[in-house]
Amino acid sequence: MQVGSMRGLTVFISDVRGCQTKATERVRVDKELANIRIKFKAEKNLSAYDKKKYVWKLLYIYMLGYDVEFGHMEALSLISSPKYAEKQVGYIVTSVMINEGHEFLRLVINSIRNDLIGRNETYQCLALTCVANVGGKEFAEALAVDVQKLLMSSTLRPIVRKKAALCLLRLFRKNPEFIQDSWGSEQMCYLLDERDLGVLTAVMSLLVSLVALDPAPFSACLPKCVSIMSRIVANNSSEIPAEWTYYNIPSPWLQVKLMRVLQYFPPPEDAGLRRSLLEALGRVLLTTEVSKNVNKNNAMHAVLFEAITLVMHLDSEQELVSQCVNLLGKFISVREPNIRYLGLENMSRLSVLPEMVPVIQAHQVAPLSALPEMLPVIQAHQEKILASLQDTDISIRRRGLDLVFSMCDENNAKDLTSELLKYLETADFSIREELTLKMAILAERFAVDLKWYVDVILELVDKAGEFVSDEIWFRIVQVITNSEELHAYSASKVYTFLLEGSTQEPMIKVAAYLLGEFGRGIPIPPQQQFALLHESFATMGLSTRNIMLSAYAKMLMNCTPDDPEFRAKVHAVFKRYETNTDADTQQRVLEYLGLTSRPEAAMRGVLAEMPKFPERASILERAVKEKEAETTDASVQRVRSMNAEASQEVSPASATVPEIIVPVLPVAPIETPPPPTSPPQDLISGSPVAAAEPPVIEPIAPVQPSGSANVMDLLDGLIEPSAQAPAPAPAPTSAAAPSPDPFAGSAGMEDLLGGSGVASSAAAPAQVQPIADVQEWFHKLCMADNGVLYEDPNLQIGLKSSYQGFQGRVVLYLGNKAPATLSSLRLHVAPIPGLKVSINEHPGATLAPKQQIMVVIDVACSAPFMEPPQLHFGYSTDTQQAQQQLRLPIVLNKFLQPLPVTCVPPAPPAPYQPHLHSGSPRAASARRCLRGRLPQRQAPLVCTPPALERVLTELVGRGWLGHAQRNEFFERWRAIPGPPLKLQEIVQVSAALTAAGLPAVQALLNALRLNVVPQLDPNPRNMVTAATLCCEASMDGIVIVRMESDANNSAQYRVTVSTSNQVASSTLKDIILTHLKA
Amino acid sequence: MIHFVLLISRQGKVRLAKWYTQYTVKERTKTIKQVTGAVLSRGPKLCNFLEFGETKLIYKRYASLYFCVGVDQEDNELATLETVHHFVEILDRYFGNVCELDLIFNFHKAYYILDEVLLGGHLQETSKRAIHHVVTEQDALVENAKNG
Repeated sequence: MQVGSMRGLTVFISDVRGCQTKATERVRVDKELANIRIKFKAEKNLSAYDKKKYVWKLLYIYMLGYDVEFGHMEALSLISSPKYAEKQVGYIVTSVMINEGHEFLRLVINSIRNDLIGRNETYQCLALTCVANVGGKEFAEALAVDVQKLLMSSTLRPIVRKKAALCLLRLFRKNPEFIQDSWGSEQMCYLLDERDLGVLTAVMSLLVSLVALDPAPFSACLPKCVSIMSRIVANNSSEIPAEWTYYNIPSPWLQVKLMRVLQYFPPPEDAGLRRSLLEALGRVLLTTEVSKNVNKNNAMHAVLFEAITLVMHLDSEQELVSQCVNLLGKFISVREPNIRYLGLENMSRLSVLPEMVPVIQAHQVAPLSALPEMLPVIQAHQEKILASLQDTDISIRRRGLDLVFSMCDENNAKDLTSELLKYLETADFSIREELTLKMAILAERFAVDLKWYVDVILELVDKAGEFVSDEIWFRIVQVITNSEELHAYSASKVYTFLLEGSTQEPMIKVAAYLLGEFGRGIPIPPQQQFALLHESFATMGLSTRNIMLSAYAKMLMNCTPDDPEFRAKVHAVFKRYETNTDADTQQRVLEYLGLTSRPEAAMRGVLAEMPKFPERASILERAVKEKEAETTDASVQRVRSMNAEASQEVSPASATVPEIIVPVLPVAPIETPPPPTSPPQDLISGSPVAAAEPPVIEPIAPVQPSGSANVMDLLDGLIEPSAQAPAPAPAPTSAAAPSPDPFAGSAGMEDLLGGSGVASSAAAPAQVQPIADVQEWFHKLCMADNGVLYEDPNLQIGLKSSYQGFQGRVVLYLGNKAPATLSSLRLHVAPIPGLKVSINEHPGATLAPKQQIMVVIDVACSAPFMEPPQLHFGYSTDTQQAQQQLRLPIVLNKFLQPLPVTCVPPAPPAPYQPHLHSGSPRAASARRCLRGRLPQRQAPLVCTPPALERVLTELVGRGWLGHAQRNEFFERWRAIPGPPLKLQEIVQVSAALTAAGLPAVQALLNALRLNVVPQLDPNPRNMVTAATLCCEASMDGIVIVRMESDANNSAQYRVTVSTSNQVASSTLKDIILTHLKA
Repeated sequence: MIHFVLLISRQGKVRLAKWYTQYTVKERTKTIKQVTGAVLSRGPKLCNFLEFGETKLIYKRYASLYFCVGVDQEDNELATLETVHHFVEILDRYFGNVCELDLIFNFHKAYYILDEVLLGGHLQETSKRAIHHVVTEQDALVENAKNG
């Protein structure tokens, strides 16, 4: 009948079914879609029949997976049609195709409401169905009251009222506040008196959802629920009409829902109520029997399992409880897989406190503990449970695993873990990760003996291999680090695993960490440890390699007495990764090279053993919790001891494998900077920019102390620029003097946010002044790549820069730290001869509060220039305006490239040097490596006397300088005539530099990119630097600077600058002098 | 509650799809794909329950069609399984020995029968007689409208 009435639709479906390939189907569908489109567009007076037909076709096409969005409007428009047939199509198609929250739905709320409040029950049903299926928050606001009226009106047919009940359920879900205002136990009790079982089932669904949110307001419903349950379970045929029985079982769904509601309420206190409830439950437990009919069996067991859960919740009658346990024990070995599955699942639930169940379901949080008396009962079935791990069905294996996990305690932990370890080898891949995680938790939770823990956990890591998640190995090192007695044991254990050929990546990670930290405690010399560990290096991933590199550095330190050969080996590894493209790796090796080449004292501080981790809940348990919180799984219950604080856990990873901190300068320093005296962190918390610094002549260079600041300053500077910038190299004098500068000292940090009001309180447009010495920041930035350029009460400008050859990129970070929007923001860089400046993208004219924008400026040096370019910028707020000119720290020395030259020292060679001038292939590759860092066009301009140039070219070419060349160098050097290319001046350096002595001066030169060639000058109090100046237009020229200190006056130096260009000579000389005097 | 009902043929074609919670078009496609993959690959004589991300999948095969339902983790599995059977029985009663072809050519009927069994992800009516009554009543209304 229905089919025949729509021939077009049937034909279309047949056509589509006849299509042999997806392509022909698409052709057919496209043809139909085009046809429908035309019909809808062209023919305004499409007949109702046609409209209906086309919309059904659209729905069919939609089901095939094609996009039919253009038809949404047509479907919706049918809803407001006055004819039933069209209205029905409109409603059904809308609720199938259109998603909740679709904006079109808003358009039909009114039509739907008209149907709801109209007198036509058929239309009411259509409207309720649609709202119950797709209604969102807006529907809840507009329609909830009307739907409530429908539900409460006893004169309406049951079909309308049950739809109203479920519709209301959805609207409550969408807008829970509504419940408190308008709906309570009075209404629900009234509805529970309903005689129509269809309506009662729907009302029960509503009640389950309501009490799941909060049972308290509905406690008056409890007695009614108990009495309904008694009535149904008693199965008085007069009570339950035959049409509501299912395979002779009185509405099993209603029974399940009733028992579910009762689980959300606390156990009834009234004795009579309690008795009748337990009676009903006892009847369910007793009368349930295995039936041949699958459906009957299922329905009966659906009720039975719900009853078991309820008994556990009531937890009173020991008799009933043990009856349940016995039943479950039977179930876990029956043939019927569904029952087996549920038997295992319910048994796991049994092992947690039943009172907690509803709480979990309502709030999904679970501080749980085992129900102690249940465990032995469950453990009696241990054999059967372990057998379920071998089930052919993955679903059942998972449940079995859950159960094993929850039935574990101190007594059986050893047995179970060894069983699980065996099982791990054969378990399928989809389950291994979960299994591994759970085992790691078990091992830790029930470790009576810490050595047992190490044994189990290492075996686990070995067997589980790639399924060991990061959390697991983080936790392992955390546990071991915190228990000193395990240090040596675990190190030797892990060494044995390596010896036996374990090469799984997680094992190598653990091994690297443990050997690095505790390797000194075992009798195996570090050289051997290194050799064994390093065998796997080549096959490891980046993060593992980084951990291994750290371990090598520590091993090197553990090696006493110093073994030059070992040192050379490790350094060879480091050197190979000096140019690695990964910033983290590169930075690590550069720092480790620097650190391990330094005197013992400095090294010990930084590479010392990791401190203990703060004791918090295991990250593993957190991982399980997260995993299960996501799934709102009842198995959350199984995780017994959880700690909410765990969210702030510091995992070992954050100490050993840090996220690279992207050095975006904060708009205002919101975070307190980390204290610069915490060595293990500082070592690795630097920014990638620091690692990408220009090539270094000496490995020591990147960590050379600057002024009196410690080794870490270079790295710290990036993280807390505003704290450091105003107080560079705290000299005794300046530190003692009271400073008006709000930034002096870290106490000033807090003032930044609060203090801004003081300056901006003026009513009239006032000129904004920077709040610190911009000049000082400029000087600092001439030597550093990153820092603060400017700051006033409203705006902070941070700067990051990097230079390569004649090109550079400067990024300005403009941050608005005021509460108001900065408007008419202007930014302009005045051009200067010799330097090309281009701003990639001009920022917008406004800057919202707390917003930070980036301005990228590309620069290229075409010829030596004298003064740095000026940045003109300005902005205004409601009450203030600012107009500033700032020198940008794009100074000539930024375009210097250090020459990678080393000298043969006259004394015994440093341990890492021999390979550089041996003829081995490795030496050749090392030289290539050094050369590779120079700009390709490296052909120094012959402007300085050719002989010197030749010597230097040779220096560059060979990467080192012998005695003969050194002597020759000085001969030639002295032969260069004076001005204008070679300039000389005697200078009194600043007090701070005087106090800090030669190393500080050397650091200063290095910071200016004038890297000192070590030992080139035979006089240790003198220094020679060699670099090339990169210019686009002219060829690169060599820059040599010599600093000679006065033996009698440590404040006096003679500076000689020689370049191939007179502008360059004088500019560089000025720059050097300025910084020396500063 | 039930989050979705999918009828999938053994060839992996969707015969009916009904969503009771908000899934975007992308998520719908993805879910259908995952359900199809998970269910079709299961052998016979295994249990009817599958872990399925945040939901639990209850499925049953009837001839060439798989009826798949995604429910909350804490829902009663067997009750859901019988809800599916309940729906199948009603289809059977309406079409008289229902087969896949009936559902293909009368997919629109399948949708509104489903709307009488489930509403908003909850079981609406457990009486087959009541549902059959409503559905035939609707057919009559449609027929009347056409004639009148």
